[in-house]
Amino acid sequence: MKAWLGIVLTVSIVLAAAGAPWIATHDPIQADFASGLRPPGTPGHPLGTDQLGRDLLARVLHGARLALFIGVCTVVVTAVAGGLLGLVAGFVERWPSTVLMRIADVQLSFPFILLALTINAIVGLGLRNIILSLSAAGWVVYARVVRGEVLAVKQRDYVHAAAALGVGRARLLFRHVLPNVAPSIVVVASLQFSQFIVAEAAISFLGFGVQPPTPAWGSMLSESRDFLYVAWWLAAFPGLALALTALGVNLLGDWLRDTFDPKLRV
Amino acid sequence: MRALRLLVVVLVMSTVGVSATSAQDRTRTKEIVVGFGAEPRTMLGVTIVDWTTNNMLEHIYDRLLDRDPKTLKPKPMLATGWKLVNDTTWEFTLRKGVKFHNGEPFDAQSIKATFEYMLDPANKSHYATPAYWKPLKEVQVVDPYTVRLVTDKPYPSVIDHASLTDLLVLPAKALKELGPQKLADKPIGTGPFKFVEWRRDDRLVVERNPDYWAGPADVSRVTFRFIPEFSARMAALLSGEIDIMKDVPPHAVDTVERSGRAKIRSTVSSRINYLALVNLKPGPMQDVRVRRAMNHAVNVDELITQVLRGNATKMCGPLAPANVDFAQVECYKHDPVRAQALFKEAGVDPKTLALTLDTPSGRYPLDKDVSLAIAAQLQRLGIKTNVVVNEWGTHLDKIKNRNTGDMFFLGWGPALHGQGTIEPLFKADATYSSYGNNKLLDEKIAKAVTVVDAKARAAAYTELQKLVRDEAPWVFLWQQHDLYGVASHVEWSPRPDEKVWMYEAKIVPR
Repeated sequence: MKAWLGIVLTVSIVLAAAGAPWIATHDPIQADFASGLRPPGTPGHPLGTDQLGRDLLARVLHGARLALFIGVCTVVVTAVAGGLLGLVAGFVERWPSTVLMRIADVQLSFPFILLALTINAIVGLGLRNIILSLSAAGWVVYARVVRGEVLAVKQRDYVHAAAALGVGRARLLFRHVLPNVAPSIVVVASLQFSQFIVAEAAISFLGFGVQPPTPAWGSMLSESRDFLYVAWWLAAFPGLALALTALGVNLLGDWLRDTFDPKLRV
Repeated sequence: MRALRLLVVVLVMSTVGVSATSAQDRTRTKEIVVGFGAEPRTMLGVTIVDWTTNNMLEHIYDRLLDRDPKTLKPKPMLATGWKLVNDTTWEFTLRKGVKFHNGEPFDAQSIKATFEYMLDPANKSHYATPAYWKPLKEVQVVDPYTVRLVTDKPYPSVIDHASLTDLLVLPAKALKELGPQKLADKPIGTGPFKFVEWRRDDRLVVERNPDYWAGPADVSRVTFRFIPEFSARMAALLSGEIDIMKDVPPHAVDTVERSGRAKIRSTVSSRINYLALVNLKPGPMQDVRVRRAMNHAVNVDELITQVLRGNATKMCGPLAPANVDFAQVECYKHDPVRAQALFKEAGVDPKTLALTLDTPSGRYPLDKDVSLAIAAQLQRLGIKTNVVVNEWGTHLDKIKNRNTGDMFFLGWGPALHGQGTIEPLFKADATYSSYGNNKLLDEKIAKAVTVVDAKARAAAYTELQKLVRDEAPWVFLWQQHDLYGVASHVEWSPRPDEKVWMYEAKIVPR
């Protein structure tokens, strides 16, 4: 049941994001001041309009595109970077492993969102930089999980057998160890995905990250505060979209974990 | 998920507020709570050019001269009279029997010490700049209650500045014994209220000075709360947590009027709002044709009617009618075709132009929304504009350090005399300037500010305004209308010079 809900939510959000220009015919940044703050149900604007007369449906859907784009990019970057580092650390052991794990420990002692914010403040505003800062704050989980898995997998008989047959180290790592730790990477990625989306919204809410007028759920929520008294829909729909996305992807991640690797704890 | 929960908690906290006394209790004890969008930057007078700071400070300190709330003409305050001795010398007669909060008497030495503090480069006062008190050569103490200000050139703006918060008087003895640092923590003035405490990011509390020279205030205690968001400020007003709120958003006027708890009090302010087109750093705004094109591209009338719902008066040059040196100049018409032509002439393709606009949020009426609306208007020409929303202190720092984008949104006021707007905003070395290094303009400004004769002064400022209009250092926006929400048990009227002074407020139990 939970799995189905997760799948349905995730698929519909992906479809809505992909079909944004066709579902909502308005341009999300095209303002029409004369028709500002129209409530949901207004002809032509099913979710109403914001203070500048921009179509809220278009903004929420294009916000979904942005959120998913940032989520996917960040997950791919962190999975590749963190995964590789974890592989190497687990396989080589000795000092690379120690150094890497101590760095990871230091980084884990900071709250994720605080670290992402700090890095963002250093690298600056914009789409590329928010992906960069989320990635820099989020790779650790992969590195730790993958290293742990590698330590276990490389003791297996088939790895020893392959090594005894004279298989090179690189081939051993990528052909025999990696495929067996890959499911863990996928599970971690799905669980991290929603965290990245929420973190991006939080950072944009605070005025860093993606800058207006680009529609991002976080900055839309932030803008809506000034109109809370007269226009509830400005806060409700981006908030709902964010909550549903996070819920859907999390449920999907739970299901993936239960299916692939019930013992994994992240 | 945890981040979202944190956000919700922060939001709720900021709206609900902690440890609020009820409005009824306050009516009985004659306390008043004022909600502002930002907190002061210091507690020391004559240090920082910032209305928010100085408005709170003038509850603690007095100016040398006040302004009439209606005509805005200078009137006595700590000085009872003034006269021009010669072109470069102004003489002030000081009020007798005035005491600072620490018991120290106010006299000519206080004025001298205030200027010594302010003009000492070590103290980095914004007022030590040419646009403010740099032209001052000497403070002559004639006798304990007569003081002469001597300038190095004829400087008719002495009276204009002395009747603003540009001259809040500090205590001479305390300044010497305690030093500026201690006074900045625990300010001492002659004002109607005494300092109690300043909790950073939260509130400033002052209490009635029973020995005030003009008689004690009706209000026993004033608390300034710093609430950056309009909606949070509104919630605080409607829940009775604060009694006066600055800048009610135009779309919420009905909500306040209908609440039964508060009413709207409005005034046309002397404060102007503008969009600076920064030429003090490399970028497209170096080209006057681009700056003119921007003026044709932004539709000011639409912003006023649609975003501000008519609560602003359009301004075509750098000065507004509330300014004594105002002269009418020709407006830039909203004309996208002309804008396109000017961009083309300058070799700029609007479709590839990416600009950054810095804006504060909550400092001026709908500042952030106006900025977003301007970005949307520029979008119609294909110009991509990123809007960077700054916290107030950050915004000022960015402007001071010339770290803004190509444009920034700012208000300036009380803008009551020409020199006070033109010199601090169009010269490259001025603190908040966005534009400068224009030789012709620099020359004309230098000349205009020394003109004493009224007719010649009017001619000089008329010429300056035409010149500035043609150079288009800003997108000229408007004179703002201030909308205050005032609790029904408070009697108080706003002033065009934006002096929000609780000495003038009365608590009327209902």
